[in-house]
Amino acid sequence: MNNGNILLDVQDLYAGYQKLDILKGVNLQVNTGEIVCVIGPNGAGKSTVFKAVYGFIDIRKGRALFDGSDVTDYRPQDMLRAGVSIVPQLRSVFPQMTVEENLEMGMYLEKENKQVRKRIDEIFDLFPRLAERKKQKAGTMSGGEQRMLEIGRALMYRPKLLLMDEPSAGLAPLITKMIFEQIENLNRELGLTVLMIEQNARQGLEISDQGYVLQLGKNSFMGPSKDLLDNPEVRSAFLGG
Amino acid sequence: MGRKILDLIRAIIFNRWVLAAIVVLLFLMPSLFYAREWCQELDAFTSPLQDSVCTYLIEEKPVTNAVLLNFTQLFILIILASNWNLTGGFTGYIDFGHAVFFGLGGFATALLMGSSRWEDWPALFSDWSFWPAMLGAGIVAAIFALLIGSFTLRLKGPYFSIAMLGTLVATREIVRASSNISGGGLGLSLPVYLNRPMFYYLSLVMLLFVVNFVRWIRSTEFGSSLVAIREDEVGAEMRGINTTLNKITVFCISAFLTGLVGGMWAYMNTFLDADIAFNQNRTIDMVMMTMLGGLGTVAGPVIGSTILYWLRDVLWANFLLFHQIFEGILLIIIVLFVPEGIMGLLDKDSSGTSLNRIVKGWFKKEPEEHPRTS
Repeated sequence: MNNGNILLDVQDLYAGYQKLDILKGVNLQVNTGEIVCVIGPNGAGKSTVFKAVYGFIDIRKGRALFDGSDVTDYRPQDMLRAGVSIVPQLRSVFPQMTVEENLEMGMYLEKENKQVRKRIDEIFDLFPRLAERKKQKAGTMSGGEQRMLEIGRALMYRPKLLLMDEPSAGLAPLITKMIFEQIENLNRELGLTVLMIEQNARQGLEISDQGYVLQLGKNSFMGPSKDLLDNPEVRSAFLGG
Repeated sequence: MGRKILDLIRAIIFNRWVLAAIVVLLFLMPSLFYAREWCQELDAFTSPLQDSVCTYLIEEKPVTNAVLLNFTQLFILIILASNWNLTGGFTGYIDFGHAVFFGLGGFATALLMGSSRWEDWPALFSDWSFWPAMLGAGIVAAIFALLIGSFTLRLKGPYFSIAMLGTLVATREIVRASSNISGGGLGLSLPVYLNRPMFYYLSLVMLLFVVNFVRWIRSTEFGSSLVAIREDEVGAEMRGINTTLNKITVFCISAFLTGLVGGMWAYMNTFLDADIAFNQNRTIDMVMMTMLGGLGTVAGPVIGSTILYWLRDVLWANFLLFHQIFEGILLIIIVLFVPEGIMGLLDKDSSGTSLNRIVKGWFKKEPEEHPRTS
């Protein structure tokens, strides 16, 4: 692991639901400007890591540092203010609201209306497809467009770090490819740091710099994604040999 | 073909000139009432025109106290439905106990105007004139909403609805039982003030204010955040929306306005007891009228209340014994065939919703419960 500029540092994280600990000591480091991919079987606690870091569930032990400050007890609003945004796993656009209103919601914490307008235009520049549909109800768009809107909405507040929970979930292979290209573009051109969970392990590792494998709530492998792709154990367990 | 007719209807009702004309006509209507009074006081008609007009007004009675009362009641229902729509339609919290704020507003007005039968009732809160008393009614309702909402709004879906229904019933019984203050079964009498045109104008002004206020709320980011809460509460929280604060805020606003209307209604009615003030039919009316018009739309409650009120009158006049059966059937038809209400039919792009969608949202599963196989 290089000692470069660590943006998110999760140390020995314990968290879970009710009496059950799902995470039993997870460690994650995300360096500024990288794409980091977390893979692992179902029930390994991948999504739970996001929920704990983002403040939806309590962190029971361990801590999370973002950009040098302790964010262990932060609630979602605080995370957003600190510069972390999240794209959840399931369709999360507000289906009965227009594309434009959905984007407004991404910058709810900004009270200055002019800023919000300006930012919406910038997002429309990034995703021209959304500009064409700004007055359309979000629920009537295709799955790929909705995912694009989710990403656009998450970018509204100019996050330093974007958490993405399975960006490819429920999308056709071709659309998945497009979304991954979009993520790479955002990373290259805006310098956006991305931490993502991916079920689609091979594709996820191919576009990322670092990879983590979670199993039963613990890290089992970690390292540069290239190495993980070549690692025989990881290959046989998650990449289909 | 059907689409074209709907588009035409929409173009007509939402034309700003048509709306302006309706408002002007509503404002002018009581002038016929006054004209008739003026005619009756004349000793003799001096011109043929005056003769024909006055004879018509006196004999045909186009606008009487009863007509004004009817319109006032319709306006009250529209205001109540619009208020209910703020929590039920926009925020998606189906409130089956909203009439509690109406009743509290009524009782607050009565007590503040000095109708208490209790000798120890503080003099400071007695013998107020109507306007401050009505304002006080709104404030009492808002404070109650803040207290009760802080608990009930943490409940989701059907639990919230039932908790609010319980609040309504419990409050009614508590008010009835505290007969020192509320008069129990005897009820309270307010100072008698019979001035139908005044209540007509007051309710009309409040109606215009409330509908425009709701429209303004919907256009603000706060209004969008309410719809976002309805669509996906966890998602709204992820976007940094303080969902609890926004829910309680809109609940209190809605309760405040409902309390004001309750106060006005009590003064107009000159009498109230626990049963008529906390009547659960009023809640059912708010829900039904909003659903018929279109949940979560600005115009929905206005259209729905008007149609249902008119329909109820027609049914009641023609089928006295069966009118409630027809109403029940109508409710079933709305839920089954026009779930998004009239606004949903007229405007496919409205941000309205249906009860079915809200209820489905209550039972949306979290992803953990359904791990997908890879």
